[in-house]
Amino acid sequence: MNLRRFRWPDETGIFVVLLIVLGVFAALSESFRSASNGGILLLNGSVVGFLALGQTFVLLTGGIDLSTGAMIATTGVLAPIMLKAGIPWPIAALLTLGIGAGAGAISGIVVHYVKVPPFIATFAAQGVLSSIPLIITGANSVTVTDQGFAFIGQGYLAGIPVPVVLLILAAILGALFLRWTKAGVHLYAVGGNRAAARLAGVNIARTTILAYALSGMCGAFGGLIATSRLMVGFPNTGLGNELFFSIAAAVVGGVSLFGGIGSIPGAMIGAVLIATVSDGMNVTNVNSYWQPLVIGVIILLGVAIDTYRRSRRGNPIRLSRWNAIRSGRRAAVGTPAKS
Amino acid sequence: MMLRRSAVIVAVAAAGLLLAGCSGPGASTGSGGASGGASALPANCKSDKPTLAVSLPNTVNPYYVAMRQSFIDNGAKAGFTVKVAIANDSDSSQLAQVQSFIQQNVCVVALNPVTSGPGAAEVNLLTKAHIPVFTVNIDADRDQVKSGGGSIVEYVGADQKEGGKVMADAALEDLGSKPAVVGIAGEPNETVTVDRDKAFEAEITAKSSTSKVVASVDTKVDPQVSLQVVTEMLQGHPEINTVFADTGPAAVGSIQAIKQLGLSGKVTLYAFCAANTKLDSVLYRGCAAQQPSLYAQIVADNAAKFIKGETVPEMVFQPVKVFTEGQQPAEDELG
Repeated sequence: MNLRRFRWPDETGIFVVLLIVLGVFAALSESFRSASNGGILLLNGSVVGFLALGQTFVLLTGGIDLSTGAMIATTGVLAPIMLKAGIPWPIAALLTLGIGAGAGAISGIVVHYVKVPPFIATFAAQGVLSSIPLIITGANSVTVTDQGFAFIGQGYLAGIPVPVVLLILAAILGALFLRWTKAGVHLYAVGGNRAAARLAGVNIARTTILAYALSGMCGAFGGLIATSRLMVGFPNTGLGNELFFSIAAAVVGGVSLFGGIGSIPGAMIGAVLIATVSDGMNVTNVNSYWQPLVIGVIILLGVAIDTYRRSRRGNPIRLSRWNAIRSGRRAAVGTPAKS
Repeated sequence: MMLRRSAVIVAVAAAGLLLAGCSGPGASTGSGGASGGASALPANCKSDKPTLAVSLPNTVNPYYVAMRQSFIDNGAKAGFTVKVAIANDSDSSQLAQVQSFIQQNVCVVALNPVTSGPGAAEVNLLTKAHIPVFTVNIDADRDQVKSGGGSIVEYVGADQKEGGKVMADAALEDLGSKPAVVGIAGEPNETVTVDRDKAFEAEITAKSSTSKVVASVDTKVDPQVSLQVVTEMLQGHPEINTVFADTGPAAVGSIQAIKQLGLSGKVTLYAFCAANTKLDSVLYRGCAAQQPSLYAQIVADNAAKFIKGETVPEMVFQPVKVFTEGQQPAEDELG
């Protein structure tokens, strides 16, 4: 094996940062090193993980989704309302995911057809989605009546919390989708160079709407998990740091804010990094006034180290996957289409 | 040419600023004093239905939803036209709303500041406009009010410190001879919740020398955040046998955190009451509730008395209601 030609994955830098942070907290606290804390860390990070996953699809197209936290609030209240209406929990869960995807698709339609910048369109969606649960409930909580619903947030499969299993499955499916499907490749294409993508036959409208729909569905997963863990739907859950953390996780993991660059493994490492920092500080009893500062500094350091590493390699901004794919898989793209 | 024109523009702007500076604060400085007699009250107070303007931090917290409704209902009963403004947890929005009240020349303002410091600035503005101010739930910073020449007719709210104290007493009583090792699920950015936490800690350490608070986490008054941070706190401090949650939403998250870690029976929760949650004998053993509807009613009634020239008390501290095993707070009894 020629080591000189071996190319470390782009996520290596941030993965090393994650290992360092894990090492520091493990050295500081015996409790942090326990297996049960590992489970708690991943469980608590699952909602932000889902949001980061959805955010990745949108960021890859060059957009941004500011409505993901509010999606938790809306879907987290709609699910228990459906359960109260007597709908069996698996169907209610699927309907909730559908609502999330539908609401996300509306944002995509507004972005593409009305030409509203993603920042504004999804900011407006955030307002709408954060108001809906308040209007429906009058700011009161909605108790979950079907105990089976607890499986989503409190169940275990092979000793692993169900939300973690769901996130791992979703991340694997998402990564395969981006790597091996035409629609996935088109997400990179639209974000990498919209005009070139259009000329190459990429359906810009469908791709954009798909990205926002996927983000909406991931937000709905977050809402389902949050409500299932509490067994109560709260109309203002998800309106705190979740949005910021979802964007930070994706960006820390190497997903570009300008589109066309990034990967789901990177975003997931970013989400685990943020979950680790949050968990580690609470386990080691860091004063809450310091916690946002520490998270901010670690995110900044993580991105700076990763950027430095890439620039040392002579590839500060990785050529998008689109460029690589364009050269090797032209046939998969197809003929020019209306956008 | 361009440079000369720019210089003229700058000079005119500077002169304008200088003039504005000369005529600004000096001209508006006036003596405060909203606690005067009926002659000092705004003209609106002499109308058939004077206006009671209410400014609340938000309506996403059931606590403020109950308070808002009570102001509307009891304000009307007391003969007021009630206007409610919601600040969406923004001090600057609340300041703008208070300035709007001044422009509307309302009769009296009931203010629940978003935070105490900026609340003092709002009180001072209202005092300068001769509009009497009642503070409710969160008081404005009294030192800043005093130094700014403002005055507050009356404060109405729960005795927050008593709430923390009675919960500490309940925890110690349930533990018997065992020391309390406490984790606080708190909100460190609000004075009222900090008062609750401090009172809890002071009482528990004063009554039992071996008891102590070993950890504290920020729940952000969000049950989902509370669930997350309390699980992490309990992971880091397996010696904790008592959790004190200083708000209702924090209590909801704490209950689930203790249950999901399988610590029911080992860790007991004392809190400011969670909405719609019954207390039990194992996990959630005690809570203290405030009565936002009652506080709003007291403010509305006393505001009506005040504008008629009657004397009202400067401070009304309502005791918290304590709930124990098997009891459930009513809908308007919240943490």
